[in-house]
Amino acid sequence: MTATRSVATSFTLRFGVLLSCALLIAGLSLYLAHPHAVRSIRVGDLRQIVRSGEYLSDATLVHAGLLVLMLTPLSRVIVLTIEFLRRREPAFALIATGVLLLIGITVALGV
Amino acid sequence: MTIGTILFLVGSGVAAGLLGSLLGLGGGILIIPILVLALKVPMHTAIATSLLCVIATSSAAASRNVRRGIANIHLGVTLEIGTVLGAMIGSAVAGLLPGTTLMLIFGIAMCLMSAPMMRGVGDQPVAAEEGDPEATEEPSRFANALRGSFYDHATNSEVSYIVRRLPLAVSISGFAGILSGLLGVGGGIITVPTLATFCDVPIKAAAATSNFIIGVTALASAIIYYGRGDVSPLISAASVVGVFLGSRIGTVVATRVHQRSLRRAFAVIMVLIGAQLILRSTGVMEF
Repeated sequence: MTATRSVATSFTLRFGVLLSCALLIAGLSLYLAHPHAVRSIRVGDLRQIVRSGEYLSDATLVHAGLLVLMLTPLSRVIVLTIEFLRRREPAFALIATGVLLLIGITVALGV
Repeated sequence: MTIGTILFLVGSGVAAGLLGSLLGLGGGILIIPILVLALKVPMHTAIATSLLCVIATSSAAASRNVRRGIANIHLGVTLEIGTVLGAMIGSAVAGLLPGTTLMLIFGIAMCLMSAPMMRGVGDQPVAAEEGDPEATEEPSRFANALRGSFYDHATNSEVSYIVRRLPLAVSISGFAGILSGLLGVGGGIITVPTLATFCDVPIKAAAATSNFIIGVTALASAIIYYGRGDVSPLISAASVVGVFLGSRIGTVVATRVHQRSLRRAFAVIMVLIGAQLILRSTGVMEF
């Protein structure tokens, strides 16, 4: 395990969590200023948000924060896959790609 | 949702994250009972919330463990094949079960998980740090690639190890993934003892590696819960923020707390909470 891999992976995880929390705190703060009903997230909500252009509403920020949170471990796997390829460790690059494929199947089944 | 409820969720999350960090547990085992028993949140929503909290805390902890070189990244990625598959199965099955059934299973799991905590599993380093004296066969090339080492500040020494019985580890990690998807927990309570006891991985590396893979495991389940519409944005947002803050506080105060006593006290609380969930799920006790 090289320092490069540790730093890139570590940074990806830390950045993702911190960005997610920042978005969630911003969204919650806006909501607390003007409480209203926010129903459970559905995938269609994202398309509605993009079409409506309400990028800085409390719901948008909370949605974005939760999505960034879910993208964080996924990004970590992508970073690792690239590092394994760069380090010429094909077996682990293949395994990491397998993990990405499984997550891709989960996304296809889930949404 | 009222402001008071949001603040209660954040506060509960802080408590869950703090205790989880001190006890070596994910926030899930603590946040789910709070949501279900105190706020009457549906079990599927509570599990989805827990999974998101697990992603947050494990990602933060894994960032530190990777930076320090304790987590075995090669082993972690290999085990993720099992955990992600298991998580997909577990979360799919959870969608077919009613909330009361999940509550019953979770209550039983809490009671069972209290046993290793009461016994103090994980308090002492496992003899596996010295390797298996009866292992005379040469490790395979792949197993050799899973070889790990880290600097243990507690003993001021470099600890090296070779991972053994990898197929067993992958199989059991699959079961841990099923538990994660079904109950919203991280699965570390199964993965860590397995790696430490059967695979010759030192307990610190086992815990760090388990933490490393839990985030991806929880992600696989969270995606399916998200797709089903089980994610409540405000409950999740407040809980994630609280649990993350609590776990950060936990890393600061951990060295000042007598963890063995805390674990044993919490084991008793787990049994009580588990019993409540069992009684409520079976209708013996009303909300």
